Formats: sequence, C-alpha cells, structure tokens
Amino acid sequence: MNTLLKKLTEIHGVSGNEDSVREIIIEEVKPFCDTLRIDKMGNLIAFKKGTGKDRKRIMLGAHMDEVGFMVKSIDDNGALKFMTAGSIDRRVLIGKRVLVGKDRIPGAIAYKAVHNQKGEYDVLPKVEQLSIDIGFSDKKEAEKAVSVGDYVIFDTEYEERGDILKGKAFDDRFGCYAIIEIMKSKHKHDIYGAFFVQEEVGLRGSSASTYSIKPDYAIVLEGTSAADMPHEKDEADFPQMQKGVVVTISDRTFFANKEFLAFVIKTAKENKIKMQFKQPMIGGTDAGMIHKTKTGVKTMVFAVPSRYIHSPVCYASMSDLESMIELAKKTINNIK
Amino acid sequence: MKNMVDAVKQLTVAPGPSGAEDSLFSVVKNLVREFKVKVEKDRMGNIVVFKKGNKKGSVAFFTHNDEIGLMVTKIDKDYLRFTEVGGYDEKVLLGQEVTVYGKKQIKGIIGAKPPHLQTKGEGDKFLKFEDLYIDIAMKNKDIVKYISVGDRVIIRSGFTEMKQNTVCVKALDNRSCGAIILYMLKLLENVKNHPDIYLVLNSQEETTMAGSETSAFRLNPDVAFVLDVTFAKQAGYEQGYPLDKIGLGMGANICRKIFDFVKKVADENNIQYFIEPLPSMSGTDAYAVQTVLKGLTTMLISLPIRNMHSPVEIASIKTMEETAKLLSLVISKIDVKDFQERIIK
Amino acid sequence: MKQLIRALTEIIGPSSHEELVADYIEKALKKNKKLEIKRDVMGNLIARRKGSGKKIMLAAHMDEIGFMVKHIDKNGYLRFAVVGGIFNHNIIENHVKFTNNVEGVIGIEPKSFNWKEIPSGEKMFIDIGAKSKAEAEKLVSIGSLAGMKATFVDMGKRISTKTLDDRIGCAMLIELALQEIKGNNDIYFVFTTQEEVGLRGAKTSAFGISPDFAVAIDVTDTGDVPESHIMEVSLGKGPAIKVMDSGMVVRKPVIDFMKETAEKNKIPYQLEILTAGSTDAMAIQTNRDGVLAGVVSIPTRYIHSQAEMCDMDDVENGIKLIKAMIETDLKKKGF
Repeated sequence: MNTLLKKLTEIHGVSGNEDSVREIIIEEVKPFCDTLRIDKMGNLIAFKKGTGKDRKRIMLGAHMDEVGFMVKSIDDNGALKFMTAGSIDRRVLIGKRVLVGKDRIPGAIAYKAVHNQKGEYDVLPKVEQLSIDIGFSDKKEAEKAVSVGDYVIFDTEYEERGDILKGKAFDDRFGCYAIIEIMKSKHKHDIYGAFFVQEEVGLRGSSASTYSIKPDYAIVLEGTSAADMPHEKDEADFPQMQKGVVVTISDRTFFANKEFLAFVIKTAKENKIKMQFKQPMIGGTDAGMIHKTKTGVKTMVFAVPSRYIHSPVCYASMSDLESMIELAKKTINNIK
Repeated sequence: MKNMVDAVKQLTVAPGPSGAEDSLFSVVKNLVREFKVKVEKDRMGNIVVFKKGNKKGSVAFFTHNDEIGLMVTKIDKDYLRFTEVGGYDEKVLLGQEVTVYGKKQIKGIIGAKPPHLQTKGEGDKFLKFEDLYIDIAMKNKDIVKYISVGDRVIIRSGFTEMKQNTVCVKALDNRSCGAIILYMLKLLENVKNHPDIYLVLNSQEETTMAGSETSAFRLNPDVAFVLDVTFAKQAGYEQGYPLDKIGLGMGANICRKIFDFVKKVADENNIQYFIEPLPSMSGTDAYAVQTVLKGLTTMLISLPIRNMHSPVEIASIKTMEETAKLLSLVISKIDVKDFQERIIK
Repeated sequence: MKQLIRALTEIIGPSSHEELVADYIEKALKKNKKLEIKRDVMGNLIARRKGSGKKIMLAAHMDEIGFMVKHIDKNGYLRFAVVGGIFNHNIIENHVKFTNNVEGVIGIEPKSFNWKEIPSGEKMFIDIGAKSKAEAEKLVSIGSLAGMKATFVDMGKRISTKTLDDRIGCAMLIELALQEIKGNNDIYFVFTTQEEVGLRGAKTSAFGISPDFAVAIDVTDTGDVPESHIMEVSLGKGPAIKVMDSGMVVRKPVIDFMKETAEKNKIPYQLEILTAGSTDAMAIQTNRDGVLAGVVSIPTRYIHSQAEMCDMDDVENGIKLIKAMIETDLKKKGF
C-alpha cells in the first residue's frame, strides 16, 4: 500500500481549508528542498537548487484543494444545510457518506425516502433542498458538535488492487504526490515545487505564486477526466485509463506553446513514455492563470486520467501516475 | 463629520455611478477635513484616505464608492432611451423619478406606454430596457442642446431616517461601508498606536472590479479588509442575515488567521456578529484583492441590507457604528508581523 | 489600404496560431527602419517608436475566431471544437481553411438537423474531401486550426470580408507605424494574440510595457440595419469613441481627450455603448496600478461572420484620430 497516497487522498482539504494537506506535504518535502515557505494565501513553495550551469527556473504546480462543502446553517431538526465549494456534479450527492469538520464526524447527504416522492421523483433536487444528517434530531445538540463554516468532505477510503487505485481527491493530490516524488531526485535546473490553494474555486492560488516565483517554464501536474465507457458515436478521443499521461494541447483557459509541446512529444517518444492527448478546448487548470502572469510563461499540463473526478469515488492507474512523473522528470532534464 | 447618520447621508446622496464617481472626492475630503489625514484620488478614480501610524506595516480597508446607474443610449425624438450600468432589477424602473447628468442636470420620469393602450396580458409582464424611456418633458431640438449618448442617469432617492435607527436611501451598497471606515477616524482621533491606515473607496466594483484590483496592487498592504454589503433577512428571503449584526466572512476568499483575530476581538468586546459562509466566490472586491501581486492577507466584513440594488435600500445605523467600533479595536490591537509569509526552511 | 486589408484578412490566424499574421505584419513594418521590433512569449508582435515622453500602447489583435480539430473519425471526417465566439448559424456548409492551407466544408449531421433550431457544434464536422482516416491524417492532426475561408467584396466606399475583426485594426496600426509621427511620446504598436479567447496577449504585453495611456483599435457593432436594437452607431458616420461595453467603463478623462482631439481636428466621430462584448482595453486597464485606456472602434456590420462590413471613410478618419492623439503632448494633458 502506498502510504503517502493514502494519507494525501484521505485527508480533508476543501478549497479554503488546505492546512492539513499542507502539513503532510511539508513533512514529505522538507528534507529534499533548500527553502520552504507559505505565502499569505496559503500556497506552499519549495525551492531546490539545480546542479547544472545556466540553470533555468522551472515551476512544478499542483493544487492541494479538493471539491467539497461548507456548513451554511443548522436547521431546527438538527440537520445541516450546506453549500458547495468548487463544481460538483449535483447528480452524485444524494445518499453519500461524508465527514464533517476537523473531527471528521460521520454524516450522510440526505433526502426523503423514494416512497414519499410521488410526483417529484423525476426532479433532481437543488443543493438548497438537501441536508447533511449527522444523527441529531435537535438543533441545540447539533450546535454543540458542529458550527456554521465547518468544511465537509466525502468519506472515501483509499484502496489499491494491482495497478488500479481507488479513492477521492485524485484531482489533484496526484499532482502533489508527483511533485514530492520529483523533488526527491537531483535536477539540472532550479525547481520550484508550488502547491496551490483554491484551484477549484477559480484557479486562485496559482497567479499569486507565479508572480513571486517568476519561472521560465511551468509544468502543471493534474488529475483529469477519463471517459472509458463505450461511446457509440465516432466523434471524440477521450482520455483513457492505463493509456498513459494526458497532455493538454488546449483547454478553455489556455493554449500550450507549440514549440514546448513539440518538445514534450519528442521527449515522450525518445523515452518510450506512454502518452495521450486531452480533448481540446475542454476544462481548465491553473495553467490558465500561470501562462499569462506578468509577461507570460511557457507552460505545460500533464495529467493522470481518472474516472469520476469531482465525485465521491475515483479510479486511476498507478502506471499512468508513474508515466506523468517520468515525463516531467525527462522534460526538465531535456530543457537547455 | 457630525455622526454616522451625517456621513452616510453625505455619501449616499452624491451621484457616483460606476465609472463616473468623481463627485465623491469632494464629499470625502469634506467629511474628513477635521482629521489629520491625506486624501488622494488615483487615475482609476479610487479615493484613498491615509492616516499615518506609529506601528510598523500598513492595513487597508477597501470599500467601493460606485453605485449602479443608467446611461442614455439614444435620443429618440422627444424621449431618451437607456441601459444599465451595473446590475439593475428592471422591475424597479417604471415610474421612477430620475436626474439626467448632461451639460446640466435635468429631471425626468421613466415611462412606457400607458396601461389602457396595452394589449391583453401585457399588464402582467414587467417592462425591460427596450420598452422603457426617460421623459424629460422637452422637445428634441432642446434635448440635443443638453444631453448626448453616454450621459449618466441616477434614480432620485432622498435620504430618510426610519424606525429602529435605520436609514432608507440609494447606494447603501456600498457607501454605507465607506461611511463606516471614515467614521473610524472619529474613534481613532487620538489614537496613534496602530500601523499605517489606508481607507479606500474604490471605483467600478459594480461593473468590473477594476478599481480594487489596481488600488490593491498599488498599496500592497500587509493586511486587507474588504467591506461590502450582504443580503439581510426580509420577506421572500428568509435565509438572509440579521440587520442588527455584522458579518464575518469565512471561506476561500478569506485568510483564516485574520478571521480568527477579528472574531476574538469581537468576542472580547461583546460585539454582535454572524458568520457568513462563503466557500467559493464571495462576489465582492475580496475576490480581486486576494490574488493581487504575491497574494494579500484578506478579510471580508459584510453589512446586511434590505432591498439591495433598488433605490430604497435599508440598513441599521447601529450596526454600522458597531462595525466601526470593531474595526477600530482591531486596528489598534493588530500586529502585522503575525500575518506575513511563513518561512519554514 | 484596401489591398493591405485584403491581404491581412485572407491569412488564417486563429487564436494561438497568429504567426502567419505576425510574419506578414513584421515584413510590412520593416520598411520603417526606426522601429524596434520584437516578439514576446505569448507571440505578441511589438514595434516601438522610441520617444522621451509618455508611454502610449496602441493595441490591435491578430487572432481570429476559428476551429480546432479534436478527432478524426474512421472515415476521415473531422470533429472540431470552436475557438472564440463562433456563431453556429453562419458556419453551416461554409468553407474553412487550415493554417497549412488544407481546405474543407463544415457539414451537419442530417439526423441532427431540423429547421427550427440552430444545431450545436457537436452535430457538425469538417469534410476535407479525404477518402479515409489515413488520408486525413496525412493532411491534419488533433490540434490543427482552421479559420473561415475569405472572399473579399469591394463595394466602393464599403468592403465586406471575414476577420475585419480585428485585421482592420492591424491595418490601421501598420499605416500609422509607417508614417512620420510628430512629438516625442514613446509609442508601442502592439499586435496582440489570443484576444478572442480572453484578452490573453494584451494582459502580458501591457505588463511588459507598463504604458501611461493605451488605445485599443477594434470593431464594434452598429444600430443601422433594419429592426436593430438601440445603438447609436452607424457605418460612415465616423470612428466610434467607446463609452462603455460589457467589460469596461471608459474613464471620463479618456473620453474627453478623444472627443476634444476629434473636434479640434474636425474628425467626425460617434459615441459607442456596446452591451455585449469587450476588447483588449479591458485587460490593459487593470494592468498593475491601473492604466487610462480607451478604444477607437470601427463600426462593423455582421461581426464574426464571413461577411463583416465596414466603411473606408471610418477607417481613414480612425487613423487620423489616433494619429492626432499620439502626436499630442500627453504630459500637458495630465496623463
């Protein structure tokens, strides 16, 4: 069992509340970096000096936050009304187990029984109509245990089965894991391991970090959607699990620099690293903010294809994660 | 500045639609003339009042001085056509009295086709910008002497004091918060033991937040407080907040450490507050301010008001006074060293 | 001038692939030996006419809306994603051209087509005449970019073609850059990238230059065709001075300066309020601690179609207006 992946994916770290994730990362990365700081927004920045001459500044970016919820109010029945942090598919909410607050109080996202939904069965309830049930029937008692503003995550355990990994928050604890692994080895160039806050609520931590780091190149390490289900219509190439690291040509927030992209494709070929492309012009990542910070940065996005990201449970392949780490290492090494 | 009511009145009655907030500068200068401060306006129309302190570092309080308004889009024979600047509820418009700011100020009425000339069912729908016009009771040949496309229009709304120490007027969003921060100067008149203070009234929040982004960049304070209004409880909106308490924002746009500090000061001084959960976008200048430069330590304080974005916004003077008191206590206790970057290695 | 506009609009340069446009413009600019020309990380082309006075940034964007190949199907048809604000109603069964000169037709799935509503891009495909997937793969790949194919219609005073948005602005800047500009303002002629997808080139070039004053030159809509929405801008009544659009409110000192310059030099102008759409000026305005920025707009009908139409008098007057502004001593104007 990969204990670091287990720790990283099971810990709670909803956008705006990334402290616990950061603590784990600090423990792991501290022995391998030269400087380590936390900026005013909560971004963690680790610097490792390179061994070569004519060193370039390379920023590796991943975000620490996951999508989740915040307690908005406690109603008279002791149930918790909540808001979402980041975009969660509304369809996955009902009937799921969650953990509330720092003490990880077990709860469930509740809706009335199907027997009592005559006439409304086909209507998907809005978030305002749902509540989190932690067992109380009394408002006063509930208020002793939880507070408005408490953060809530899905209660999902990390498991492995051969190459297949199951858990939550693969987007983007995989990226955090990858940066830690990459920083364990020596590199030609100066490496800045940047662990961002608040990506899920607007790509927010990355612009401030990039502003202070001033990188020559940036590689964003992410988790992206895999869509392996049978798709009748011959109209798209979706990323698939176990087909290698996913490289972005373009998404809604950014276009990869053409020369840098060609360079990466060549690097993958030379090192026999399994690679596939992300569907163009879909989704967005921190690269969207990074590439246009100050006078612009040459940026790449590498991602691990995961099934069901932004939902309670995801699948991904360890070999894809390793391909992502390998491609990043070799790219860094090839930059002149 | 006589008192809070006086500050709110002077600020709210002044015309200052988004992008054309010029008249507020002299109002602010007048309100603070009895205090030892510097008042400046930058090229984006942001107004900054600066009070020097004895402690190291700087703290900025950001509010916005622009209000939503209307703009003339066409002179259509003897009438004016218009659109909004900032988010209006079109339902409030029909039948309002307005002032048009052309080469001179001219009063008018927002009108539409009379009800007895409407087709069946039209009376149940409300009219949108395309169906409305401003009538200034003048003929075209005279209109063109004074008015042109692009001229600003503000709905006339007097300042009224109402029951339970509340006020009703336009632009409480966000001049009420401007009043709160300027009123702090009264409470801090003989206090010097604080960091440098910037009291900022930003332009253009209602349209693009261009004011806050640029003023935050220039001032780069150690700690940034953003004050804006939020939704109070009222008929049809039961989930709103109490009019008599100040809101402390909690969520991504807010730095937890500064939230904890402000909460502690409030608890220690028996100041009533509620927690405003904001997990994603706060929809305020805090969104723009927090990610400027290398990132700023940001806190959001919210004043509940009723009927937001109408000419009859309502808020509590007492809550505003309590907020000014809270922030004055915070500023005299704060040590900016506690809110810097943390060096681990 | 018409020749220049024709040549520029024919080039295919969708957002992120502006090189062909930049190459053409750079070649044209080289005629003025006094210009310092360079390109930045985002591909912006920046030509500087050095001066000791205030820094002025003039911006026109090189990119156009277009299509990116996202999949090649087993029969050689291409599925695409749109780049920028493509309007689906005017692309069906029209010609497109790729940056590598391959040409094709946008087809629509017959089963998905009904006369009542405009189909989404997922129901369309590009047909490059390939007989198989293998043949198509020799011509294009995932990520290949195409724009609409150009036809140039010369109506005398008026012209109609694709991508006046914003090659017309580029043409105007080229004209200005090749002229003798009086005064000693430090002038940057910036041909920006990726405006159609979020003003990205303008943001980074503005940061690099840090101007005191900026003017974007772009197109705007008109209110002069039958049953128009209210908009007091018409073809032939002069360049438009922007008051407000959906992304920015232009500050009074800028509008006053533009109006004053036009009136002093007897240049006709109109005032523009645009309710949907914005320009590079929006990104430049929020650079660092703020920039006084405005827009000179060329009234254009049928924006984002293959047949955008403008009036050459508006273009000439636009050039005159900008020239008069950049020759003014900005120090004396309080900028």
